[in-house]
Amino acid sequence: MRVSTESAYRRVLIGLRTNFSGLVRAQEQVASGLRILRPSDDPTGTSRVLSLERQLADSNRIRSAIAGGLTFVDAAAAALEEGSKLIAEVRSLVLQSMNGTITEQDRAAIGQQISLLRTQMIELANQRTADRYLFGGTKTTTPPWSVGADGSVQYEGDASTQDIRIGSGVTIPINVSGDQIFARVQPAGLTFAGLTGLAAGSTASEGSGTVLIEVRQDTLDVGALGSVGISVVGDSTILGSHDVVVDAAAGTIQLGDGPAVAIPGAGSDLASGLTLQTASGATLTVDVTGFTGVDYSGAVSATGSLRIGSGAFVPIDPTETDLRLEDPATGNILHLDLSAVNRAGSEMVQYTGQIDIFQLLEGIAGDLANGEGLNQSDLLGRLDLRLSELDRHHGNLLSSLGVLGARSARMSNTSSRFESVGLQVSSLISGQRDADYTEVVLDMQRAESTLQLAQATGVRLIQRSLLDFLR
Amino acid sequence: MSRISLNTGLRALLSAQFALNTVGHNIANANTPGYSRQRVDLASANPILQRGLMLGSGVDVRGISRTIDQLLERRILGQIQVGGSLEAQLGTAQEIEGLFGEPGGFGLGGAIESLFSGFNQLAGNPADPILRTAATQAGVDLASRFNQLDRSLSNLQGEVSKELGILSQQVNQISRSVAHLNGEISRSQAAGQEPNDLRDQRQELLKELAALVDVTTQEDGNGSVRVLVGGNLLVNGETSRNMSVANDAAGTPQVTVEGVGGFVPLRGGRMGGLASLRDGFAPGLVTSLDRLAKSLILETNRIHSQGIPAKGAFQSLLGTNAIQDVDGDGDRGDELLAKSGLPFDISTGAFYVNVLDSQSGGLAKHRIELDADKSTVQDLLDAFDAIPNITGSLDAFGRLQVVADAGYGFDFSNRVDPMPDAKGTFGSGKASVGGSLQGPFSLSDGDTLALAVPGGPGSTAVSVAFQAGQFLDPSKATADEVALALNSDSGFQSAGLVAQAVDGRVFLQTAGSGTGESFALTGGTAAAALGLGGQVGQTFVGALSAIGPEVGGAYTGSTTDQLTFVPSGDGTIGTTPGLSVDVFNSKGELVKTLLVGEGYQPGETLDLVDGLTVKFHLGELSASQGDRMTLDVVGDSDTADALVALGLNGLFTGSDAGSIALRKDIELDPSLLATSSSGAEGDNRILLALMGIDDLRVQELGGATIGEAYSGLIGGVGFEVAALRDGVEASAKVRDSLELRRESISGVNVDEELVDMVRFEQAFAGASRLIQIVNQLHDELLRII
Repeated sequence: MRVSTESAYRRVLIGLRTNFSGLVRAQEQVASGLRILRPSDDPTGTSRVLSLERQLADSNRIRSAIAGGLTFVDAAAAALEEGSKLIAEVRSLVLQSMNGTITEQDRAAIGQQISLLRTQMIELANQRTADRYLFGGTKTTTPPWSVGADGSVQYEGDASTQDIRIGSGVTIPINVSGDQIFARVQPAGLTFAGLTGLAAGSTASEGSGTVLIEVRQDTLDVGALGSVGISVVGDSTILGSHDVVVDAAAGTIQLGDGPAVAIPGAGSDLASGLTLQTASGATLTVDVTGFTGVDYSGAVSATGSLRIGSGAFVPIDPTETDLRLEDPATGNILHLDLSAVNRAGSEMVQYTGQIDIFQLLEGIAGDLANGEGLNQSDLLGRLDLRLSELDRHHGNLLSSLGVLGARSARMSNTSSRFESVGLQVSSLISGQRDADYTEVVLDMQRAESTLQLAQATGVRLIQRSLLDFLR
Repeated sequence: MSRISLNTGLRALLSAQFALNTVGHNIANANTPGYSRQRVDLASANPILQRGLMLGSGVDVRGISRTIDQLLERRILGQIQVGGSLEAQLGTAQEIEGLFGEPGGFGLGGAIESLFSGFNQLAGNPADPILRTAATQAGVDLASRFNQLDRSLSNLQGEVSKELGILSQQVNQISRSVAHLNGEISRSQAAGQEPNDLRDQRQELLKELAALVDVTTQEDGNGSVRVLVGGNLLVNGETSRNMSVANDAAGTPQVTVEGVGGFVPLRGGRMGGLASLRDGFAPGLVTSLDRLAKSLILETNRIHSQGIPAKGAFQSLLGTNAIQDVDGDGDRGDELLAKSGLPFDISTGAFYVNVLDSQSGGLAKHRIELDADKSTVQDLLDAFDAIPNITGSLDAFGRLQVVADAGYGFDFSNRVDPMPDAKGTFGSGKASVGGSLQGPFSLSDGDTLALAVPGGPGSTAVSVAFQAGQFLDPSKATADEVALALNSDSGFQSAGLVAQAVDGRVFLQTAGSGTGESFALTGGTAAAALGLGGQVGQTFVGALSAIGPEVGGAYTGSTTDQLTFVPSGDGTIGTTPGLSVDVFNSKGELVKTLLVGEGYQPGETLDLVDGLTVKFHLGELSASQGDRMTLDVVGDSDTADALVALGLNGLFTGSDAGSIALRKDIELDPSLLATSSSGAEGDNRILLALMGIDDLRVQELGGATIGEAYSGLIGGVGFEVAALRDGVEASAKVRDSLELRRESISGVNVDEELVDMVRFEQAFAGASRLIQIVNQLHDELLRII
């Protein structure tokens, strides 16, 4: 083919241009380290990189959410561990106070100690991490437990969970609400300390905490006891009708189902104030100094009335099996069976499973202070009730701790799974996007040498001319 | 003889001179673009008859011709058009590619991810004001990225239009030159001359023209060329027509040719390339981007509109989208809501408005039904008006404004009513009786209901007479109408009685609570129709305490339903053996039986359905007196998309890439970001739902997620640019090879010319020598004389 001078130049030029642009392209990849610098470099690769980057961003989001959630869960777990220790301490203190040899003063001191522990417990329940209250449900900016002027503690949080996202459409709660831990309601009806013979009525009751019912004696009819020279002195706590049997031959006197007591001689100190007791602890104090020595058997009966808290007294009708009492202060409603009431006194009624830990601790401290002057066995009856509630709370607290621990473990596992997913995705992105240096450098060298060849041959071609030989 | 020889020599001398001149011309133009090699056409001169013999008389120059392949020239012209078009498109497309800034995470995709990350951070601690600001700023940033891209793309289209104007000026200049050359060429040709160089010049101009616009050329007999653009004559002989740019009906600049009606479709050349990019690729991209922005706005607002901001329920809220007076009669109320110019579709469905009493914390849920084919704007306003304690109205621009009365707030969340028995028809302390039948009831004018309340000697009789006017249709009276009719009766009122409509039934009750409250149903002609026939003659007494059901938890179900609670019998909570409450859904299916009799502790929490719990307090239930209550559970608070369409409590405003913006008041006050669905500051359910948009398959995007659609868009840009780049490369190769072929035919090879030069130099020398010899012969002859 005929070749014009222009086409020779042009061919050299095209060759140089093509080779040079190849070299520049290779250099660009080496310099940036990237194979895809703009979508048109590899449109499908770009789409894939974008979708992988989304996946990576999502897994980073999940990991950051978990990292944030874990600090919250761990802080809550640490607080609950502290709480568990507190409860254990309370328990050992209560057991200590139930020891028969302990003095009233020591017991009161233990009561004060428990009051302090209660304050600690409130602080713990209002603990926060990074300005967020741990145990308020989704109400995280205000203290979940408010302490009233009278020292009572009220839950101000809610029962909702704060969830974090740990996968597409998968969430996990990072909190257990405070009412589930410190005030879980597991109602189990009424329990009575068993002082007065009060029992639950036929209709259900509703309320929370413990209620004190004051049962008092109004009138006492001693029958014909005076005929044998025995008179009643001082306070008595019997209610209802009890037999009094005097066995002159044995020289004993017996009240109801209580033990027969020896009648002391007229000269004895006891004779002017002998206390008789029924099996349930109802008492009657008699003066036997004028005892005539004759057998006697007759009934002593007493009527009484009762009230809830500081309400009005209601007369006790022994046939009433479903008396409704409402505490105007708390709204607690009680239905009581009065048929077995046999003794006056202060009856503690517990809404079992409906006492929060703060009420409970307050109650224990109150019991130990023993402002009502209860005797040892009545006190132990109450503390037994308290202990079972305390154990229930300990169980709840530990189960909440378990829940938090399980969530913490699941979050950690998820996080490490997403960490490895992230690494994998990163390497996939790199595989798609980054330049393969060996390949690129080889490409570049090839482009370089081809360019050099093209330059060398091109120069030789265009230098040749017939003019060199025309003289 | 000598005269002949001398002439022969002279001719040879002149021919060689001609040839040498042409060689010189060729060498001089070796580098002139478009130059076609010229050669001298030599032929032997006509012989002379001498003494019966034909005697050769030397050489003749027949002419100077250029070596050219017309077909090849035409193909080059076509290839220049293709290349010009592709190059123009590539340049602009690469600019667009650069606008997106992908891959690298600095583009729109990164901004979308940033928004989700902002939500994620905030979800970890929704009460943190800094994280809240960060999340809203991510939204602002995303919106402005959309705006920037949209602006850049439309600027680009403007630039293209401007460039079309400039290019058409160039076309005019060139076509004038072509017309001028046409004249010169045809005149030369008429004079019998071959204007080789002029033709080359004209061919070069045509090439320039082809690079700009898709021209076709035709040469006529006298050597002038006709130039056509899209079938319209641009140059004819010595006249040329001007090309200019004018706006079409849509305001887009288009090309016209003088004297031709309508616009010229451009297909090739730079102008064709730019026009096709402006009218095809770029608007397609804008459409995709708009669709992406619209989907993001729609899906985000669907969720956000049902949320509650950090400050709790709204006192007032102004929609961001305006209702238009489409029919232009000055009244917006008569517009069909679904066709009232709102940027998003309203479908047949319902949305819920919760009205919250800030004092008592009580929540009233109201359902507003919308029918896409029937509901008018006025229907919507009426529906808002029917809700107590809030009002809805349109402002001057047609935006819906909802305002709550003092002491009330409202929201659109799916939270449940925590106290569903506000009306006291389910074991409350009020004396109460409910009808056994559901409405509509068949009543007639003058029907009565006779009651008696304690008071006076024995009791006081109360009789209520219904009037036809109190009902839309007395034969189809609804429970609400009956209740309203009863409550507006003065005797009924003064007797301390109240009527309620629950579950489509009519309930009669005392206003007060307690065992002291009672009333008796003594008869009346309406009693049977209202389902109260069985209760006639009975006395109903209030109770000491109310059951007061409390609902807790958050509804996690997806269906929207109304649950109805019906006691299984008469009895006391926690006491009566076997007492239970049956819960039915709106289809009448039993969904749950709650055991509330003996063994249940009053106040104990029971699981209801889908994350909800319920507890009952001590009190008495009576199936025989028709105790009943309902509870609305809402899966999606806005199945009609009304909130999105009206722009109530949305996160983004606008409807496409150009108009998308984070709601201004949220930007200014990030606490308005609705993160919760319960109102508690630590509740992040709305944020979690917003993050779910990442995985949501969007109908508008053909079932792709927003991220996938974006990847597709970027991939599409990449494919376009890559295809254009390949096209430019291929067309350059084709052009190169055509040009090389042209060069091999028409190009000048200097060496070749040098050989010719030597040849003709020698011919010149030979001819000179011949003249010298003839001259010597003459001298010899003269010496003889």
